[in-house]
Amino acid sequence: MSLQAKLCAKVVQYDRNFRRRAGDRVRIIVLYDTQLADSRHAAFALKYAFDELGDIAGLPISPLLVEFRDAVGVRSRVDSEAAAIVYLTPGLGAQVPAISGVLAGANVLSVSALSDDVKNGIVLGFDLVSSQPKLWVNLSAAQRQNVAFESQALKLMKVFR
Amino acid sequence: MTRNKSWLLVAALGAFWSQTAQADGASELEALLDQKVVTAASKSAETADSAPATVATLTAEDIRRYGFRTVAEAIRFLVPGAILEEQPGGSFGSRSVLLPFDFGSHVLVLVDGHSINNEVDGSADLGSALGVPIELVDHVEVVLGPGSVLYGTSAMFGVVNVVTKSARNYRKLKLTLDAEFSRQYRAAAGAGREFTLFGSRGEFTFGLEHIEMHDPLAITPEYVGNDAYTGVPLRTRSDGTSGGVWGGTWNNNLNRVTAGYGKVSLGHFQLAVRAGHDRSNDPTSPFDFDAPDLGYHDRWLSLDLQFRRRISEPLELRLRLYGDELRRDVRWRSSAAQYCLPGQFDGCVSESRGGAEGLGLDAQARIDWVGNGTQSTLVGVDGRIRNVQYVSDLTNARTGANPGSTAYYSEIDPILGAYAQHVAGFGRHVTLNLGSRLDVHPDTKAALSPRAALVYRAWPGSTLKAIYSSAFQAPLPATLAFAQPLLVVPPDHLASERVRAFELTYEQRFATQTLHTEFFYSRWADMVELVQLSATELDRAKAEGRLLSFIPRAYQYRNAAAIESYGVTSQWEGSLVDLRLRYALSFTEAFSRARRSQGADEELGGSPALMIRARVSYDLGEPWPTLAVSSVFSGRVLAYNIDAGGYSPPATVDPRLVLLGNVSGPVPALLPGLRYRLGLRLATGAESAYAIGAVRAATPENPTPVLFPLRRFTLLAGLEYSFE
Repeated sequence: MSLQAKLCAKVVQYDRNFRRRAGDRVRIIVLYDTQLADSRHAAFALKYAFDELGDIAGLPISPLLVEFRDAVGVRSRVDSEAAAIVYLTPGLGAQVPAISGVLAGANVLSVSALSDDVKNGIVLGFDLVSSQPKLWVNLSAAQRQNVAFESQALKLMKVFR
Repeated sequence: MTRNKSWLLVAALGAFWSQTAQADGASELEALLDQKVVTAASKSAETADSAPATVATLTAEDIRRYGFRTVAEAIRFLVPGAILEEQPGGSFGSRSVLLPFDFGSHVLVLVDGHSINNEVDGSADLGSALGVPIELVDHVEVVLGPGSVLYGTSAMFGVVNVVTKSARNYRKLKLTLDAEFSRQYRAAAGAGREFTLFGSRGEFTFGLEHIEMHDPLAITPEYVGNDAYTGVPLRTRSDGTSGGVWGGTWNNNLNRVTAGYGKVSLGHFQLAVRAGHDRSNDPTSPFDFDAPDLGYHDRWLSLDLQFRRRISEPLELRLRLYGDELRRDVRWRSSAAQYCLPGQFDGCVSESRGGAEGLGLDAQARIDWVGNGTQSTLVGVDGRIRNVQYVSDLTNARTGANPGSTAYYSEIDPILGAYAQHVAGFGRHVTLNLGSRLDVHPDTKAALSPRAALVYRAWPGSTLKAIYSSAFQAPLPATLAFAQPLLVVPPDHLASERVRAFELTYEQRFATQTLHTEFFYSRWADMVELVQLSATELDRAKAEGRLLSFIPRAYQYRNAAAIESYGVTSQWEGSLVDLRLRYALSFTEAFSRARRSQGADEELGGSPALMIRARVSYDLGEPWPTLAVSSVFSGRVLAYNIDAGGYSPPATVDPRLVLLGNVSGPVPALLPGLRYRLGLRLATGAESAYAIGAVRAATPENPTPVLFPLRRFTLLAGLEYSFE
């Protein structure tokens, strides 16, 4: 989780719209399923990792743990918190199509701890191949969510179209 | 140096440091993506720089890029400090310590966490008999340094964990053909697929391979004199034509392996199966030269069922039920009466049959006390029951008459291990890892294997580690049972071998460059060796009927040796041009001495004090190929398997450099899914340090030992096709 947080913090700086979206601080919604121990554990570990990082490109980080109830609730929290990033913990795979649907048109980067979710509409996902982290990006979802990664970063990612 | 010049130097260094330390953001992202996540060092996922051990990770990409055909070959070229002999069945060593004839019994080899070390003699093969097609390998973690703290016996040199691919990275049906021209041919097939069953996500992967090796060897003939029993020239061929000479062309250097590995997972469960058989002739046998149908025949089957579930936020549970079945038959023939029992004038056939069945359960719990991984405890219990059998016979080569087994072992043993490890993080800078394991093995005292590791990150990219670790090797059934009334009496009692090691390592990463240096020191105690009996002991053994009365000398396995080793390894590794250009340079300089109960301190045979590795590769981008060259240089080594003081000056092998060039890529515009590789291996020197044949000391006819021949030139090629 610590490595994922560092990667997320680094990658997000290559989004041309990141600073405008973040404003004075980077609000990160960490979404978890309260019924799943794996999801709760990952959420707390991610929050801690982001707290330890402290800032992204000089902007202080405010991670916020949000329990998943429904996709509409996710969109309303993203809007009300002015979140720059919404981070899905493992266990929310079945909800991804609905979540990515409600996030269309929102100005937010969606990230998942699992690369499988990228196929279903999450913008950025992580994978571990041969013990090394890999980044997956869904360009169509990125466009819908007003995320525009620079080519420098895109060439280091696996692209799902 | 004048003051002005020194200030200029400082300024230049400062500018260089500023540039490299403040690399652009893309380089920092590349550096994060270049980090390795390992699991073998502490049985949990962590970055390699945080692990409580020195871990080298070999990726599938490294294996493909440099054209390695086995895990052994990849380790030999890529892992600083590792020693892997080139001859078939060659031993594994590290940091200038090599134990001849241990056949991998002092390194723990895991496949997806399942030990493949043979229960009879502890051996483990990282070459063609690993039983996992190389295409199925996702990555290999090599943990150098004693590793019994979590794994128990055998991990004295360290732990090698071969991790296989998930279906996500091994989709489609793949077929592979590759060749080491005029020596070895291999065919492999595999597939992987993800699926959903009963609402749960699942996947399977499997791989099968068949290898045929036929490599005639030119072995320098040596004069072996007359048969001590019959007085006629020693017969070294079954047709009696040798005339007291051993050597020539060993035509029957054959090896045939058929093996497979598969894994299926569904929800929280995973089942892995590994099976195969390996038949090989052995040209290192000192008995009949080039005899067909002799050597080793191994068969193995292992099952491993794992369950993993997070029970609550702080508590994760893992259970592993595992079973193994293996059979090993070793067969030699001697046409010389002096190697046989009285009355076997026409020679004899030695047959050793070993086997083991085992069933075990490893249960472990991980508690994350504060929910963020900074304070976590791992506790586990690993118990198994094993049934080991070993019997050895010397039968009359002409009549088949068997006067009775010369060695016999049959035991059903429980083996129990309990381990605990706590990881404590103190802020961003300090992590402390403390652990220990207690093992109870039959026939020996309980073994406690502690480890303590302190990791300190002073500034970004830097890691300083101080590590103390220990390991043991419980006495092996094949050693406990080994007896031969002409030469060897069974041991009275054997204690576990032990090693303790200290390491101090420093790593600095800046952008995509990494500099790593480690200082190490290890002490090995109670090492098991064959020791010659004193005159009194010889007489007593004869009186007790354990030796034949006319035997002039005999040996026994004892805890008789200690080893001390220290040295340094340093490596520069990096990449440029968007990770297309990759390179590394490393050296290991180490000193080791053996102290024996009989004789003075001496240098270890087969262990080079100096090893240098270098590699470079460039990915031109598809459809163009990837070009790669890897190399390993070994300094002078002392020959082994010879009598102490047998050669004056001591027999040595000159430094050896091996280069492996590889070109790989898609077959351009011909067939989507078809990939090729072409390789060339060149080596200086044509001998290993392993003395073979029957002569163990200088004679007027044989002033130098005969050493196992190695190839200087090999052409390699391969094709892989992935079906859509």
